[in-house]
Amino acid sequence: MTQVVKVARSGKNAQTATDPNDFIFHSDYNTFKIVASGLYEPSIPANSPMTDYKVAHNLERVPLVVAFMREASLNEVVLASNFSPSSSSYLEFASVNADYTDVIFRIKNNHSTNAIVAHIRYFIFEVPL
Amino acid sequence: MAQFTQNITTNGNEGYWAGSWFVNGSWWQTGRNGFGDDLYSAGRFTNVSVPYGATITSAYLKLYGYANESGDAFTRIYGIDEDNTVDLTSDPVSRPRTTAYTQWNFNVINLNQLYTIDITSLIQEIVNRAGWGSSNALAVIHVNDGTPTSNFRHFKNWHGDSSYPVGIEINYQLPAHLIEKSLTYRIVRPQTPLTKMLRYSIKDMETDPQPFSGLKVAKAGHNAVNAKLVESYKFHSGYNTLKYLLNGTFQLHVVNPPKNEYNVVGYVDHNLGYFPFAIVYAKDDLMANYQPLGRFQAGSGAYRQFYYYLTTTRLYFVVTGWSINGDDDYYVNFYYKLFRNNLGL
Repeated sequence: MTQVVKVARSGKNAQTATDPNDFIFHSDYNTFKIVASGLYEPSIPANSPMTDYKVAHNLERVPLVVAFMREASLNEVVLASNFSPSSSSYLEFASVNADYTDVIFRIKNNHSTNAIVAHIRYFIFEVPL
Repeated sequence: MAQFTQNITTNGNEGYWAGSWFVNGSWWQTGRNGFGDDLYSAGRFTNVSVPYGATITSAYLKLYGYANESGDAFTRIYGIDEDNTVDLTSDPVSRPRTTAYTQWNFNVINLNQLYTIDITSLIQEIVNRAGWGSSNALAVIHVNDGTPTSNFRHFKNWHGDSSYPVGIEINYQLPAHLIEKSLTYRIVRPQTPLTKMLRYSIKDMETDPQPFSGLKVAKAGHNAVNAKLVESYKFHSGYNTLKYLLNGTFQLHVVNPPKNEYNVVGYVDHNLGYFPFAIVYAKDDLMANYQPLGRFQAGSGAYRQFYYYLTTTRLYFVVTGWSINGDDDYYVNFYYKLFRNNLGL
């Protein structure tokens, strides 16, 4: 007999439910594991063109990465390649990607005189076998 | 074996208390002053590239003497017991401290002499936190522990003398799961240069699996007792997962927008009080299917872009475009998923 570990959502019956979305955890389905996460806070020089900023990930493979950024002085967070319509926003967070050694953040600062700190939270996810 | 070193050479990452908190103050001090105040200092190190679960073989706080001083000083150094402690622009004294600490009692301090204090145990406690991740920030706080009145002591820092910054050195071994990944990489990429092969082989010899306590559910064909790759598991309590909060749809109606460039904005409330992890998809009348945001431009000749951003209470949706005549009339449908994971930003 196949053995499983199932944790149903509130209001759902773990013994009879068949929809994967009815479970908080079900051992028949893989979970999207966060292998690592980190905070990276580069200071982006004033009036700088689109530039790559890198953080070593120490995984020696190309991981799946997701990153969000908050521009210093703003109380808004954007996913990479999204933006804020705020007139006080100067940073462009164009993309996040990775190679065998680094997580790479591509950022531009449109402020003519001030360097701005980019507060970035990034997540490195499992790449399933 | 790997090493992380860093000196504090940025604003907001060092300071001391002497009656009030002086972030970016021009020295590091501890002990007790002539008023009977217990003095303390703190330093924060960012982008600390030590992975979760690493074995700390040694760690040192490095301080340089500010002047020739003598007299008994009794002090302790703690870690800030947080996953990713924020900067020190505010007084860190009330932040939780590690159980582990270093007792550092000394008498004579000499000008510009380097003092290397062993802080291995408290650094180990920080990187063992479940929420710790490589490139997070950590901080230490150096407090008085019974120094007699007027025996306050000074050490140099970057804000007072850029030649003698406060520093940290952490020597560590990678956790077993990362070493195992190196081995797998070597097998599946046999064209790897010999130099890399040798490097991975050396790491393999360093393998020293830690005792495990937690919950693991292995995939079919993998052994939960000894599989080391995270990819071998359907669930592993040593790794965080996205924690689902809610999903939903939202529709923005763009109708007769201002000529030229326009923004149409809508939102849903999440009221979490922090910035959560979120993913959004969008589709308009020109698109066949939903697509994830990211900067996405829709339409041929009709210039439209769809975005989203987050505050601590709301998820905002944005349609920006360019209307020549101001007579546009279309709908954009958003599908969103919000997770409880706090971005900590």
